[in-house]
Amino acid sequence: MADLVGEEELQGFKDEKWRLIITRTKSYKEQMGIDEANLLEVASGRSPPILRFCYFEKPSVAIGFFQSVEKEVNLEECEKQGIEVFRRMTGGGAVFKDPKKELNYTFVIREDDEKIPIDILESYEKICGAVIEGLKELGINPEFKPINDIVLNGKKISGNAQTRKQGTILQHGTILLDVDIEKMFSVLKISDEKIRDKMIESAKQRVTSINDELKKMGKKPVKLEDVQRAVTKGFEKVFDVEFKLDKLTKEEEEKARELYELKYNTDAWNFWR
Amino acid sequence: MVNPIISVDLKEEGSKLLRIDVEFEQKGDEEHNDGSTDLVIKKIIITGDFFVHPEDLIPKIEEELKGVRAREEELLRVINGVIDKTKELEGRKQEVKLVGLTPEMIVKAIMKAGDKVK
Repeated sequence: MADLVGEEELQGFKDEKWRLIITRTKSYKEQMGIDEANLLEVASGRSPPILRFCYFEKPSVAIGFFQSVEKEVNLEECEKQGIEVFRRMTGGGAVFKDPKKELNYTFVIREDDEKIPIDILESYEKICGAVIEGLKELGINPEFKPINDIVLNGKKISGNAQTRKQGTILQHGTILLDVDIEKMFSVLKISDEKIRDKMIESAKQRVTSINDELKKMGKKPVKLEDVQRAVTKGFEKVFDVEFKLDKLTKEEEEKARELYELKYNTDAWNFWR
Repeated sequence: MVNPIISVDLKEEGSKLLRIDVEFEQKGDEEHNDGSTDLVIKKIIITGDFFVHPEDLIPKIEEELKGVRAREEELLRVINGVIDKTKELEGRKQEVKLVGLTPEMIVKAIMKAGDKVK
């Protein structure tokens, strides 16, 4: 009997639903605090894995953890256009973030979870695979492009970045529903101004969006909520789990606010290099 | 004389973009036959769109490179030394992974910066 109780308990833990959270903030920078608060909660074992969709209002530029703000971002232009600039806790490149044109997600899971490969590149492939599986619901056929991209018809539609802290993986990424390459280049620095047009042209060859590709196929455009629903399904399928719609705990909210105030909203962090 | 900060960008096939800012000083105590002296790193900032796990490896490498001569084998030894030390941090093994960046690329960028001084 004792063994049976043990098995039941184990079964109960295995069947635990993962958390699906939707957060809305004025600035995307605030979501960085929530990202880390989620990571700490999952790392502590208090929370099962989390899939979060992040909505925000202010257009912004997010730079990679190791990038130099001054080398990558046209700060003057950002100020003129009211665009916020901030540093992520993950590596990768600088991106312009338009709240109306992209869906942002964060996924957090412990490294010792059997559902995620320990190898960094393989884990990128599995998590991006969940996004891809979901996007297929929209009638498109995207593919994983190592290291961390998702491409559609050979062009990038999603960029993803990962960090690992306290035995826990956090991957966040953006899925482009629409894209404005000119706007993106107006706020990012280009090493040689003489080749600006050439660079914009080359970026247009490399980057596309879901709705641009749907349009080419004669299909109707999709909305942020359609993509959110589809991607959630993709995670459920690939990880063989169910999600329950949840909110941030009081502790997560407090931690997120503290991290925002003491870290993500400071010059010491954002202008670290 | 104020030492200039030399910037070098380096991108190789399949790599991410590495951008370094390095400040050298001449090491005067060892003069070569031709009268030249060694360049020593005074300060270096390593930036770019690569991924490094754990992230604090890069500031550690920057710190350890201070005072190191701009010679390929010495630079590589120091960088690999920091990586090995990080792998065994606090008595437990941890995965160290550089994605889109290699120790050799950092060395190459520093050597290129050194060439600009000479």
